[in-house]
Amino acid sequence: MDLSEMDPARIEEFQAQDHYLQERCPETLVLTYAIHWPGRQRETARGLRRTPFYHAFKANGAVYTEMQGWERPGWFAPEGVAPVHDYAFGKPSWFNHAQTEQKCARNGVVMIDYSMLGKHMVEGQDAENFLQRVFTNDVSMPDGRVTYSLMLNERGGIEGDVTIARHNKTCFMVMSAISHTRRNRDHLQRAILAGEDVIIRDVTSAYAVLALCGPLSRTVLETLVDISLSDWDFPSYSFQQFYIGHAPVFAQRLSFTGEMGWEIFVTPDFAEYVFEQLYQAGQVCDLRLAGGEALNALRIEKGFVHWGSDMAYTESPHQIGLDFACRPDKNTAFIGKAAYLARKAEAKGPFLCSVKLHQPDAMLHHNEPVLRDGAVVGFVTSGAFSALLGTAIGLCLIAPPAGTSGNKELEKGDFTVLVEGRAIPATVQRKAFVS
Amino acid sequence: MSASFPKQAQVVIIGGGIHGCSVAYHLAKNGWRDVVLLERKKLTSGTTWHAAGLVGQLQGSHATTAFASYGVELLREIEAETGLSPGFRQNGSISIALNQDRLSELKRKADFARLFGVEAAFIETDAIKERWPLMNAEGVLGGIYMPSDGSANPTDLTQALARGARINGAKIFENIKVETVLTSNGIVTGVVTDSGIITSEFVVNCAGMWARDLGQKNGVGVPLHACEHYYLVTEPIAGLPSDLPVLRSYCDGTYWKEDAGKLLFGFAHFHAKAWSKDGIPENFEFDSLPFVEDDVMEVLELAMERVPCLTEVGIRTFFNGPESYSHDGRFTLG
Repeated sequence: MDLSEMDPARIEEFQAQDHYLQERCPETLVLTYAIHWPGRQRETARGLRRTPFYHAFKANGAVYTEMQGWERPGWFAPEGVAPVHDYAFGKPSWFNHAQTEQKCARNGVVMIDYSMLGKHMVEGQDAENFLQRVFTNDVSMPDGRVTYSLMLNERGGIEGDVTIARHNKTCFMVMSAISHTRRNRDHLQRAILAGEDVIIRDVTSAYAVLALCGPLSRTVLETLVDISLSDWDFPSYSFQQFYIGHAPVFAQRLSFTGEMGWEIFVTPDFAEYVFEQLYQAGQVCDLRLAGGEALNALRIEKGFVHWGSDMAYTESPHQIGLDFACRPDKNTAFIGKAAYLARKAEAKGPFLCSVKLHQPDAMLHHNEPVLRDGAVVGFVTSGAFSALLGTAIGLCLIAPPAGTSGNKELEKGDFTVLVEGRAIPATVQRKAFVS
Repeated sequence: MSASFPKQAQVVIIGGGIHGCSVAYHLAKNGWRDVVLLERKKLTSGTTWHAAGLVGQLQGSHATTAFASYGVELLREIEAETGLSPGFRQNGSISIALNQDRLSELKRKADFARLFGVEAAFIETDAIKERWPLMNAEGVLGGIYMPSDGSANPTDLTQALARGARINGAKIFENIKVETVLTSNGIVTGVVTDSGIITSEFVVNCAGMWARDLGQKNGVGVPLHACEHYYLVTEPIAGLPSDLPVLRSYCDGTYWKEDAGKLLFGFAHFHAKAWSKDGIPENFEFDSLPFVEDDVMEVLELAMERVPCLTEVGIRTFFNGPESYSHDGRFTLG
């Protein structure tokens, strides 16, 4: 049973202190009968963790939402619009602003503050062996390469997903989603064997990170750097150190939006300077700042998953379409390999699919039941409104038709999704809607 | 000190409230040997004894809904197993909406209940009025009716779970205070009590509003804090049907249940207060907190508008007791 929402590892130290609890817990009581809006924000204990871009983004209209104490831009209010994050089961007042951010990411270029993502340096003579054992993908890659990988438990369930960048022979950077920083750190720490030369350092706050993404991202970045950004010289899933103006940075070429993009790491001292350089250089391309709301829709369009929503330690990679991140053939066997292979061969569901509604007035948030031929077969794990498709989309975990196994016949049948008592016709497919 | 006080156990459970007794019951029933539960005073004497006892399955997440619907199963079966009735009355529940947004929320929750096979259906205001004649239907847009919801007696259920645990071999000790949890290299090795040391392989912190303090002694953060929570009980109301469904009016911040011919109603406060900021008194046992009228006037006025007979029926009990709440509204388990 998936109890990840209750996992003690979700709690950072500061959240278990008396002062924090004395502000937050009474608010929990107040909110028990308040409307449980999608994305409802807390009002107590806010403004605790601010990234080096906080003030710069705020000056450009950032409206903040909170996660693990971090203030994170949810969307950006254009000039003249009040920066108020209101709520709705339908469309909130800021709906169109976040939709515009989505369109800019697909057609132009946007910049997103990624500083709050978890960053851990894994270092030591045994770092490579250690990561080969803990992670499913092959990390015996050349320096300067980046890979997406999972960590599994002994039951073959997914304990987390990260990107791993190889900085040099004995040094790797592991990057986690904001809410799973502690969870992943604990998991890695526990996996170190006695006598193994591995040190894990949390460098989450040691680097500010800007994600520059969209088809025009290269055009913007090129004006500020002395290196070549061509596909040949700076391919996807690679990593380089260089300068933006006077500031030393390193960047990895990948993006959760699915567009061309660079995640640019800079120490806090140079952070605001780098922001200014990129923001100014971006103006000729109409660069916009984008927030978490737009990013969530963009990643769902591409079928990119979020641990804790779309999967947890109960699911095996074959259910989520993540076999590509598992390399059972690599020299070191990863934790959970035998169970993973057995579960993959058994091919049991449910399986993750993409879902799209046929009526533009219904919204998907989370947990809406998915029906095949009128019978409940699963539920929406993440939902958003796609600016590109003009309708609500989501990811969903659904069972294959009775009497079938595997995911071959998953798409068979007439699908509907229950939204506020209405069965809305929908398309369910294994492939993402945006390739 | 009792002669049979154990020196070792497979698992020590700290806290004899409904959680601790449930953990003891389920572990013992699933074949765990040497299950020991320690309670600092009497079973239920912390916060369990004054809980309102609502059994609601319209929960927000998969895990909590699965727990709640299993809870209903357990409530149906525990008497046959232990001979003790948990006072379960499956009168159903009705949640009402006073605005469109709330109605959307309730409908979404009813959709979600379908994933678990829990019956939840939209109900028109007229039909609600029929089931709940004391309700002022003004402004009510309809609601969600859940026939398998109800209420139970938290103290009786806890005693039934405790007996079920004992039947399966668990040992339960009252008036034993756990001082600290022992660890070696970060691994639990036992507990120190005021009656001696028990070594054990596992320790479960079910200390409720004491859980934070207990955890802190070992550097373990438990995000729970006691908050003041009020409810009121009316004088007997003539003709009040004993099968009255539980009524929740979220917009008014109030829940209602029939309680031995009286109405019990409690609040989700518009302004809540943390309690015991300087620590819980050592002698706390079946205690309540001072009732501050100003803290409830706002919700009380809404309650009197929703159930107008309150203006004529007297209030027998004004109750304020501590209850634990977490920082994010979720359980901590694992």
